[in-house]
Amino acid sequence: MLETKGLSRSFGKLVAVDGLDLSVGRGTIHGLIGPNGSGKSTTMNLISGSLKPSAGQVSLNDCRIDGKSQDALARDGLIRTFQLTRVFAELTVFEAVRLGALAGDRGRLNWRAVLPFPKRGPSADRAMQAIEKMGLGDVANQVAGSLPGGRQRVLSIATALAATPQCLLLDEPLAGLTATEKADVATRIELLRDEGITILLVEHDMKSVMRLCDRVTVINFGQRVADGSPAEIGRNEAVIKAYLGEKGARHAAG
Amino acid sequence: MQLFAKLDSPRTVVLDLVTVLVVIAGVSVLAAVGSSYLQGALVIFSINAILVISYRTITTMGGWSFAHVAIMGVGGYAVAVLSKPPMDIPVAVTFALGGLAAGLVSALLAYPVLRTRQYYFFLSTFAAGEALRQCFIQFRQLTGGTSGIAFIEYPAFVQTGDTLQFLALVLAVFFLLGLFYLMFDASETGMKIRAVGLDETLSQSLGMNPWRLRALSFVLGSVGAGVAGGLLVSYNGIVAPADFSPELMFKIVAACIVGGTRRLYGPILGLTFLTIVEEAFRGVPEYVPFVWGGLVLAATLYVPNGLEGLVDRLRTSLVRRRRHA
Repeated sequence: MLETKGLSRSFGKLVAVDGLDLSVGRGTIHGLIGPNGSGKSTTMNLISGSLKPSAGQVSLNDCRIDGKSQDALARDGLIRTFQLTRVFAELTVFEAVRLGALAGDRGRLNWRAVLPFPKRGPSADRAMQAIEKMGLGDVANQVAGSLPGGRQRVLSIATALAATPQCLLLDEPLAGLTATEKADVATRIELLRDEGITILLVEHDMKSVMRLCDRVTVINFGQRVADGSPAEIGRNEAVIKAYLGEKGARHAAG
Repeated sequence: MQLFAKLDSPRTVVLDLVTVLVVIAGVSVLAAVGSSYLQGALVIFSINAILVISYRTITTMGGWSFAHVAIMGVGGYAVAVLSKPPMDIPVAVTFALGGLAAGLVSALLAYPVLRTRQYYFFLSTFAAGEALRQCFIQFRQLTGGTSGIAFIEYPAFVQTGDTLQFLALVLAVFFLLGLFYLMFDASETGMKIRAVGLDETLSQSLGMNPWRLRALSFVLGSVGAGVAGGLLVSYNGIVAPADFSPELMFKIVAACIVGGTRRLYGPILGLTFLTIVEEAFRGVPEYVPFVWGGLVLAATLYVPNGLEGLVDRLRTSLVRRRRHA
């Protein structure tokens, strides 16, 4: 579904991502983990088109997509969220998500708008569905910027979801959430996968990664250290040394 | 409390429409009973009203252009050049051509200018506007240099010298353009343009093409300015570079700051307010810039969303009172 081959990017002398091979299967949740500064975010930026790779290729459904602009990729069905939460803070939750639903649509002149009874159109329905799926129904009419940080984070996923992705790139979707919220959002992400959406996520919370992901890739210094099911990763010596520590390994094993 | 107008709430558009109609009615009544001086002032006011609503369309994408009045000049000069020999195109037709010319020039300008953001955008549009004005001065054979082009006529269906008929024409154009900008604003494209204005990175990540959306609002706003420019030179009978001065540009920006730009009615309110102030100080015109500056300062400090913000506050407090009663 989503693949990178020999993906590399350097900033001056610093090689942030170095010949990374990654293969995300259709309809799976794939975790990308690694210590701070290991190149996860750069990888996300390279895949989503906001950075151009120095070498290597990215393909979606066997079509090369590296070099395409971010918005073209989004219209192809590859949508990302951001590490620092980005939402349309001035709008209500419904309006913000609706913009996600509108994004890929072709706009027409809305002559109905000057009549007393404008039509809302299919984008409004799609927005409402995305809001329900992410459990934001109770705050649909609140101003997005007034929500607590954790719910804004969920809102950013809902907005991306309304844009009808085939493949979602989630950059730390659980950061800043309470334990209960984490469990709730993790379940919702699983539901998205069950609908057939492919998900690649970067996450620091190891418990959630091990629970949520079907497959995990570990990178360090921009290179792949290991790749496998959460249980395999938990047993992998190199990974344990580089990253997980004893506790995480024991949790993964069982 | 709702900070942003609902993007497609019917009530929003009704308020905008009502404002447009009230302005048209008010201007008509004043013109019917007023002196010829007042009638002339109302024509200029109505042309400026077209200018501010077209300017607002540009601001929705998040950038405050300083080239608007110079682009208006493109429309004005187009009307002057095309309606006179050797072209001799009917004046009414040249109004539309002036709008097109302004749209075309703005599309060319959009390419370099829309690469910049915030104060760079402000600066580059200012420079582009000055460059256009220099063109009006320097291409003497076409534009008549600093003295401009004289003896431009009214359109054939307006009786020469009949200010009231000309005012009716301007108001009709104001109504049609207002309606068009409203429909565009409420369309999906209009919503996307506002999304780009709010957060360009996020909008792009969702699949919007920010460059195209920004260019579209820039060009559509400029078309309105071009039409306004054509009306102005036809009314004045003469076009000169001084008609498209930075002072007029500042007046437009001031109207948008004082009135607010979230909705269409805001800049109209702002312009009305500023024009009343200007007329009140007619005896001492040297104080007018001073008063305007003060009003803009006061608006930015005390009513950050302009008169629109005041209207919103009034409405919320009314609703609250009704609920308590």
